[in-house]
Amino acid sequence: MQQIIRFLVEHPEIVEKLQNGTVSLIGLSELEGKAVIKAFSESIHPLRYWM
Amino acid sequence: MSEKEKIAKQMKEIVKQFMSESQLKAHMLMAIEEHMKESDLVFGRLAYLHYGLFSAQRNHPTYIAAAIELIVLAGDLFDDVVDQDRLKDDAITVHTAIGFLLLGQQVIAHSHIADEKKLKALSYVTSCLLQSVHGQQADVACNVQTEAEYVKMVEKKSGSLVAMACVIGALLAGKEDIAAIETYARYIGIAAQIDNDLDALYNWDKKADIQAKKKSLPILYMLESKHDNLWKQYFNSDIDYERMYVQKEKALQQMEQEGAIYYAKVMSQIYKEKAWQEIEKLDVDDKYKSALKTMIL
Repeated sequence: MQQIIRFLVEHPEIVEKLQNGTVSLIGLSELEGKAVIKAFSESIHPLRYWM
Repeated sequence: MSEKEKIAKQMKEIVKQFMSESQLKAHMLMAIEEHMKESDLVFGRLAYLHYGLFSAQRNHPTYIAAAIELIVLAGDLFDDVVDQDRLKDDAITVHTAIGFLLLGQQVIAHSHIADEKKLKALSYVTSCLLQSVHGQQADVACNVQTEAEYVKMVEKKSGSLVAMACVIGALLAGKEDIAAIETYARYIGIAAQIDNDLDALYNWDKKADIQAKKKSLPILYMLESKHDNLWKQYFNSDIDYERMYVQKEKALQQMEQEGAIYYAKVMSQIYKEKAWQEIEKLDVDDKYKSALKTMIL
């Protein structure tokens, strides 16, 4: 997962295509793909502490 | 009165009922007050919800939720002793924590529930606490090097506590097959710990995690980076905490720019999704599923 995130940070245009559904990431499950799209769609600081 | 207030009230009543030493009792009541301010009592509410999920009874006993929350509060206090140098307060804090730990189990043992269910529940509590202690020690020893080791550590440290809350509610209600509950509860615990670790990164003054050199997912990510960064320098002891602290904005900026925060958020989301998938499989009313999902979102 670390490698995928590093790749996406270096290629923001791919993130946009992922969000539009025009590309998909090989090697990720559907669940992981959804998680990547959700995380990159949110602001970086929405931390929520519930414990 | 909200569910949280009911649980807190019950916690205080338990302390008043079982504790006789005045100083310790006062300290325990004060600790509950403080806990109320900082926590949504999620562990107690999860126990309460799971009892309701599987019990035929209409009235769900608040004391089960209070018992779980007392045990979790004990863990929080032990964490304070481990994380902070509060020697002056150590004796009363440790006694308070031990008191809560035993009190929570005492309440379950004295409840008007069939002995067979109580025995299973108490054995499960012990098993989860032992796992959590193993996870805590791995965390403070800072011997986590990889993502897999981190996940294993937090599953023990936090996943076991969430499992304890959910499963105890279910066991005391008479549910025997707890495998699915245990699975999603552990996923919830992992996700919550990843979120807590992220929170600690943005609250250096409130949490001792960075100073203690605990390795959370974003930190592991930065240590694996091909670029030089402050995290590598700090964890390799090239710079001390003071030098790191004065550059904390830059350190966080480096994390954000390299994608370490996204990485942790993705990992947290993966475990939340996994939990939701397991919750969907439960053969219970949709309103309970929704309540559970809302609680962990």
